[in-house]
Amino acid sequence: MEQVFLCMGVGALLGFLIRKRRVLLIWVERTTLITIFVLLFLMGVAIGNNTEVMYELGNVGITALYITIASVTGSVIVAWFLYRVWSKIGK
Amino acid sequence: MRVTIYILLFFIVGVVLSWQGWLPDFLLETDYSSYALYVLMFLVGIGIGSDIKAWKTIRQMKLKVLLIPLATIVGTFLGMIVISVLIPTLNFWDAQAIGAGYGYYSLSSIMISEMRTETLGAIALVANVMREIITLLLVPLFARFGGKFAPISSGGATSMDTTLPIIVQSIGKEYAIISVFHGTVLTILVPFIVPLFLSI
Repeated sequence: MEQVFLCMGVGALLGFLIRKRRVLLIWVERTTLITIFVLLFLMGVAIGNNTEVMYELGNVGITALYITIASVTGSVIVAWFLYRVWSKIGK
Repeated sequence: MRVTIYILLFFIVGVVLSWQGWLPDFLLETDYSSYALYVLMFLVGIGIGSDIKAWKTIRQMKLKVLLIPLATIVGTFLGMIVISVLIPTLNFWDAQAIGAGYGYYSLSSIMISEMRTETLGAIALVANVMREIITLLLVPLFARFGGKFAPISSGGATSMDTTLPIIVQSIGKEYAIISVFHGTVLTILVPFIVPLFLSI
């Protein structure tokens, strides 16, 4: 995990230094997208190569759906509560 | 939305090719992805550090506006507590890490797949893509019954781009800046919160 933060920290520092180099930043953006494509392809490869996981794909989908419903519901409820408090204080 | 489709395509093509056994062995034997993750984190770092517009948006906001992304973080956390009770096989902090993608499916799923298992990464990918889709579908409903912040909060990190148009349409143009701010803050926080939850 430390490596992840280190890579990001060094990147952020460098990013700040080159923040005005438009052309360079466009290339950074493109490379980022390509890296994401490659990594998700590799993730797919690893999953397709794992017979156990492949037979569990239905479960993956259902678990994901539950997680989505729970996280959206939780967010919406707390946001609704915040908005109510916010509007009362505002008045 | 176009990028979402491309990303899912790359993932699905990877699954199909390797499931059918159409890939050369060297791709399956060596694990390149940890190095690729470091490269990605470095690039994401550059993106964050150089994003003058994002930092300006954040600086211009009053401190109390930070309560909205905080509501999203707390709400998602509470939702994931419920999930880890309902699905006992899912580790509590793993569930929290998946939730902490806040719709930023590419980065969160890659990190989780790398730091845990591919199965958890796949769950994170699908769950966070669905967060975007559910938001696109249900924002009008949330706007009607949940007040002005509920649609923004539902969108998570995507409230700054992919779900912004529908959010603005439902709650009004005057909330566009708040929505962008909310998405920006969460997008910056995802690469910190996900590994944090995974390391607990």
